[in-house]
Amino acid sequence: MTSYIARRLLQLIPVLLGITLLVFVIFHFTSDPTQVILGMHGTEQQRQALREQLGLNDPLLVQYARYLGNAVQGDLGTSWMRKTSVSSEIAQKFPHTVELTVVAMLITVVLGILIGVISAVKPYTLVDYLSMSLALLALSIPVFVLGLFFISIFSVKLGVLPINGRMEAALLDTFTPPTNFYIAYALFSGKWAYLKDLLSHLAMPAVVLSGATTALVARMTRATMLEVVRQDYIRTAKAKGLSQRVVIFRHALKNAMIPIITVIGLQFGHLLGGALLTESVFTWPGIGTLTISAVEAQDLPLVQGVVILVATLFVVANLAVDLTYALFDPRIKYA
Amino acid sequence: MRKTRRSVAFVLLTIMMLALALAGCAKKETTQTPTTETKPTKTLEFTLMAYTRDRPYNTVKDKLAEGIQQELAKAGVKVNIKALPWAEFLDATRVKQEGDAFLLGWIGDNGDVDNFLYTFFHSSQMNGGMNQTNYKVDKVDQMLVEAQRTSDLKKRAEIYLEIEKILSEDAVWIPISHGNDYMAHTKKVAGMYIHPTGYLDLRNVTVEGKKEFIFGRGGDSVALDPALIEDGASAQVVEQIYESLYAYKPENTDIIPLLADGMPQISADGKVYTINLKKDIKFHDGTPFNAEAVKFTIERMKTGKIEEMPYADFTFGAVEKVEAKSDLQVVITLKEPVAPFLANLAMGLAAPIVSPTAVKKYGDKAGENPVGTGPFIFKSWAKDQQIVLEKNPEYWNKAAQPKVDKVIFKVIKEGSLRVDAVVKGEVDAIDGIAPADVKRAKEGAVLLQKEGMNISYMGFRTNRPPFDNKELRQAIVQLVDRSSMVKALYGETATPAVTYVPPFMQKSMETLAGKSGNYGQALPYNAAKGKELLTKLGYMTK
Repeated sequence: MTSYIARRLLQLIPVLLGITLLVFVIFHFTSDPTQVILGMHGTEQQRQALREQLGLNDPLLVQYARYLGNAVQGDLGTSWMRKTSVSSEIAQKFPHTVELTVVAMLITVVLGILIGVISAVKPYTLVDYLSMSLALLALSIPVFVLGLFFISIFSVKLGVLPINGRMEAALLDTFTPPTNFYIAYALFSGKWAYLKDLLSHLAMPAVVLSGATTALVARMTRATMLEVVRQDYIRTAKAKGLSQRVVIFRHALKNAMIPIITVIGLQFGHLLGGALLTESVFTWPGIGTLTISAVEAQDLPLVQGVVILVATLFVVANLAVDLTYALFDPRIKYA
Repeated sequence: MRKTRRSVAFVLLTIMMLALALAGCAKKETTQTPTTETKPTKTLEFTLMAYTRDRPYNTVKDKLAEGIQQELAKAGVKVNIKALPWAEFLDATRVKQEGDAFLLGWIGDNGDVDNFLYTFFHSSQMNGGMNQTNYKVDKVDQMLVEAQRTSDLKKRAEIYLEIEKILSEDAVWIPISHGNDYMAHTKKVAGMYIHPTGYLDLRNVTVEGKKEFIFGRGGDSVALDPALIEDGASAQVVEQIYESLYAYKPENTDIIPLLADGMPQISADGKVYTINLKKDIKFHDGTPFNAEAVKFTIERMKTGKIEEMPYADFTFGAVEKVEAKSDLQVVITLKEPVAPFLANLAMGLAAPIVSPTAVKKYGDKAGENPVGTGPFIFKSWAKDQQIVLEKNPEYWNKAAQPKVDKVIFKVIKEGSLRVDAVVKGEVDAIDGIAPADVKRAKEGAVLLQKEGMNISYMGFRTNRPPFDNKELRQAIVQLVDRSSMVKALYGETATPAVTYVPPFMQKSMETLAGKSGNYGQALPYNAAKGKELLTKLGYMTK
């Protein structure tokens, strides 16, 4: 098991190498760091001096090797735009994204599986058509449109939820969490007034973010469940007189879980890397917003940092998915 | 059967959506220049470089190039647009010198005319600087330097107006427009105004029924140390915490004293500035404000690295030495006489005086622990969310005590939601209002509007064919109906440009020089004359 995990984690190396090299090359051909750092004011001499200092006159591969050398030692460099260390910038933003993702995924898992199961149990009925059409809609509507739509209804028209942000300004000013895991802190230290405000800010982005993944999971669940319920052992279970609930949830769903887990796990890894549009619409101070501003500012070290994070999360999520298979199917073993 | 029907429906739906998407993507052909091959004359055709990023002076991106293309097509001139993303665009136009003409713009730094005219038209600014027209005229070079060397305001104004006259005759640019700056606040707010430089003065702001003022904006500050910043979002906050020796008048960029006690005495050769300081002023950490603090601030920037202190060279590059003659008198000696230096001392970034004790204490973290003499004191900063400032109870300026107890700068990234937030009263004021949202802001809140200290222009490469020909440039300038084009592209959100500098600067110069009527304005629209010139040069017209 351990050696399996180790082997899988080793796969991370070529992935990271490939993806960072790609970003490096793209930036090399499309942007001029001296323009980014010095802006409109730098003179040609100052640009030259900076190029020399940043080692931009070296061959591309030498530059890349130098970056890798530092990265391996944990130094992801300094953001050109923010002038702060890339790793601390990411460490600050990551908790915001984690909290949003965890809640969105909770909604996805509960709602997605439930809708999928209901659709599969009552196929080709009104409920099925309705939920599957809704799922198709949720999958095809762009998140920023959905986000703006929600805001215009719940914040602007009804005024029941705040427009955006993580917390109300005056409350945030008096909130002193030790880390940026705001919700976890408010929850565990029993700061209910803060928690209530945090949740009201979280509601819309979490629902919007979960929209597409919930739909995906629902459709996947429905499809695999439809396959499974046709199998003989389900008929046997029914014939034995087991209740519908037990048959569906213990016998059918468990066997249908593998592809569902795959979708959920990959989406989870994907969303942890920051939901670009959702975070941006709701001014959520997470990795997604950071990525957008980094790309806008052509801030190579910051973009590289985010890319490394996203790739790592993805590979780890993939591995986690594979490991959970064994939980649902005892025939699967890792060695 | 049911299944087949369903899949047919799905396929149909997909096809419909694809068709819709394709229809949406299809680019409308905006111009069609018919090629009349029967006529013997040649068509004038040139490449125009454009950028695809929203800028304060041009909110329609490369649509501006299409506007010019349409205007010139009317006369039979063919414009080939090459639109690039911002960074690539800068590289292509500045470094690689691509294109026969290019679109660009400028946001002024210090409010001095020199910051526009010298930057664009002095030959030393060629090769990687902002003089990308490669305009090189000895007389203009000399006059620009002369204007830099005299501290007589009237004489400077006269020289600049003469330069503008030469530039119009030489038709180096088509000055296009000045983007308006917008802010909006709720009906409960009073005491806000827009300064052309973007300088934010919140001392007089009141909010009916509360002592807290929340300002919504599109991005967070990068740092709160005036030495380290170059962006508006940082400057906005820095301007509340720190103060400079001088400041601008609320309505234009004329200079008035702030921490300085009166205007400086400038030596006859224009090199030595003797500045007296106001007494009994303290920084927020209790450090006394004095000549040593001024000396520390300037010397810190003189020794700073440009990649860390982007405005250091611009603001204090001319300084040779700073001496604290007494506790309240500082003498700044310049390497050369540079009259715009005074305007530099009023800037909201780089120029504000910092507390030496605080900078030494916080070192690398000075950008997160700002200490100045200003009306508000830094309280807290949740990165990418909000910055909270509190009223400085010991603010020295008895005539301009801050009226609210707390100011919160809150990030709301999405522009249209920012407008929603002020309309709903979730924030008290906002900035960065896109042209598309202006109407909504006007209806739901109080809209403030002012011509910004910026200009959008089309420059010709004056050093190579086809635009090394002055008459050809004159023809093109006269063929573009700027005022109707600007109206069509921007509606009310931009002002057509008449001169090479923003209107409030032009007005200030004309008042000083005793001249009027947009003296030295660019060639006005005159299609007949433009075509006549084209024909004379052997080009086909329509």
